[in-house]
Amino acid sequence: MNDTQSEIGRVLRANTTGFAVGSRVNQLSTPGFGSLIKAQPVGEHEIIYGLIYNINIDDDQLIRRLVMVESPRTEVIEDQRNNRILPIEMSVLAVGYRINGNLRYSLPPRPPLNLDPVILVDDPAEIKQFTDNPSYLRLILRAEGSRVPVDQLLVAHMHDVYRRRGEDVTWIVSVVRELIELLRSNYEVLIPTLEALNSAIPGLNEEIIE
Amino acid sequence: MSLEFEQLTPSIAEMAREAGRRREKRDDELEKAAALLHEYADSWDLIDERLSWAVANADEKFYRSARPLHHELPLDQGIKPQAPPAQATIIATDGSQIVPDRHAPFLYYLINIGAIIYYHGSGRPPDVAAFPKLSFPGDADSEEDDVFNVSSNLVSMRRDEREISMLANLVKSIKGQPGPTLAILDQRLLYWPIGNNTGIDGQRIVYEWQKSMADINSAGGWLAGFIDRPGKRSVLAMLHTLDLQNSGRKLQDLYPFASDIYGGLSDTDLFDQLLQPEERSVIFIDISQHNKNFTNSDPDNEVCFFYLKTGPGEGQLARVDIPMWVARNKTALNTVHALLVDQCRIIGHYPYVITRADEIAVVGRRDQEELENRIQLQMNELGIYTSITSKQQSKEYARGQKTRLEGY
Repeated sequence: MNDTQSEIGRVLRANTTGFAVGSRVNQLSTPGFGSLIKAQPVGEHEIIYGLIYNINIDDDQLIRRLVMVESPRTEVIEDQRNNRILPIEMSVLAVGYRINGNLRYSLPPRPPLNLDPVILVDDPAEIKQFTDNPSYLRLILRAEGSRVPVDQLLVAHMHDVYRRRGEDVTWIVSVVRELIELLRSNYEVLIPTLEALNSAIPGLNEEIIE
Repeated sequence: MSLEFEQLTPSIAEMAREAGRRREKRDDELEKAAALLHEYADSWDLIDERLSWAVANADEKFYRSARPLHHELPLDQGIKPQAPPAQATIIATDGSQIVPDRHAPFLYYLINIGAIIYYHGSGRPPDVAAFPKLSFPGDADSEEDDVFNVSSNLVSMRRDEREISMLANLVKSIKGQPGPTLAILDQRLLYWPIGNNTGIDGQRIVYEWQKSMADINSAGGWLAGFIDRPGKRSVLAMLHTLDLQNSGRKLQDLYPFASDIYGGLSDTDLFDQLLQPEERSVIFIDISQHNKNFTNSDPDNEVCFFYLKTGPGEGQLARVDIPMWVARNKTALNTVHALLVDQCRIIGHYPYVITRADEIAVVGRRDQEELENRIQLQMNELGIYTSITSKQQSKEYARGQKTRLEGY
């Protein structure tokens, strides 16, 4: 697993259900809304997995002045993005953890600590291992009613994993069926989620019906 | 205990009334000064003759004035900027400091220099860097321990020295960049120690300052000091000097400690109404004992200046100090003007590179707390335990954050 290439920031603050990650602009190119990431304290046996459900880009007075300028210079934009220390903040929903090598699809016993490195899970084997079992979807659904946009997060995450697993139709069909089972009494979330998934992955409806 | 505002109410009212009276007087004086500028705008022979007479007869310790560098454009003419070069390297440094506090647990001071190298026209991000230096009694660079017990002025002077020496080092380090290299400070070039620090330390710092200017010149760089809304009155003094025979005043009336013949005016007021946005004034040479000292050390270091209208608003005016080697080179002069205007356009009315150098340099309260925490930890590891003085402790008790009942 090639973790050193994928550090996307460090933990700013955390609790049991999730954590906030501070990142620099140049770390923003790979992770996105719905990405599977992990907080991995150095030398510790616990790894906490989560999904990015919000990305917040802050400003300050200098940025506000620059926004008012017609066509800011490239040098200035590059300076703001590469040199100035304005952290990008990502909100993460915890969806599982690994302890002594064993995966658990529930809330972690302890949150990560401030400044723990956070890594994008982009190793295909690790993605496959974590997502083979769709139990973690329950932790996403339990966030309904909070600030987490559950339906959009489901769509973004499932589409991202489908792509990272090499357009794994078998996986996406099994996960959608699990989702239908979990949301059978919640059409307000289920219907828009399925519609959006079908739009993102053409032909998905037909695969599910078969 | 909070300030007793009731006791101050009469003073506040009087302050506002006095400000109104001064503004009226200032407007009258401004009108007269503008009239003098137009009257003598191109009277080159008279200007030369009367300024030479004033320099010969005034006490050089007190007489400060200005002399136009060229006899080409009238003194009341604004000069528009040319287009900036396609590419240039602009370097700025700025500094901040933590001054020694004998009530603190540990005696030290810190100077932090922020620097930015901006590659104008390249599309690439600037290079930025900070250069912090911790000084403490007995450290290798500490020539004596007096600085820790004397005043914050000496630390400020050493910060100034590091700002320009760092700037010179960066100019020297620039290799193979297209276009000219412009080095900018956010202060006057005609450096003179603040306060009463005119002793050995002050002399050494002035010497180092002049040497850094010469280093920038030798490295092929151009240098400018950008002073936002300055209080200088050299051009006004020049105009009053030219008009002495008509006004019936004496030369001594122009000395800084004499009666206020300027009516609260500064050159800023005069050029603020004269110049259009982005225009500059003609170039003046500073007439002062300090500048004579600079010229004697190196004729290229003689300090000249022009005023630059940085924006359309009242008071959006800067003075730009330039050394003689830039002032007499018309390409350099026009490029400095153009690049400064270009920099001011980025965030409006103030050079972007100076804003960033200041941001990089500044040491905030939290940085200071973190630094002192680390010093404390290192000391504790060696079994050294000290504390703040009782005086400081009592202040912290009294000034500590107060809690307020906000309700439930």
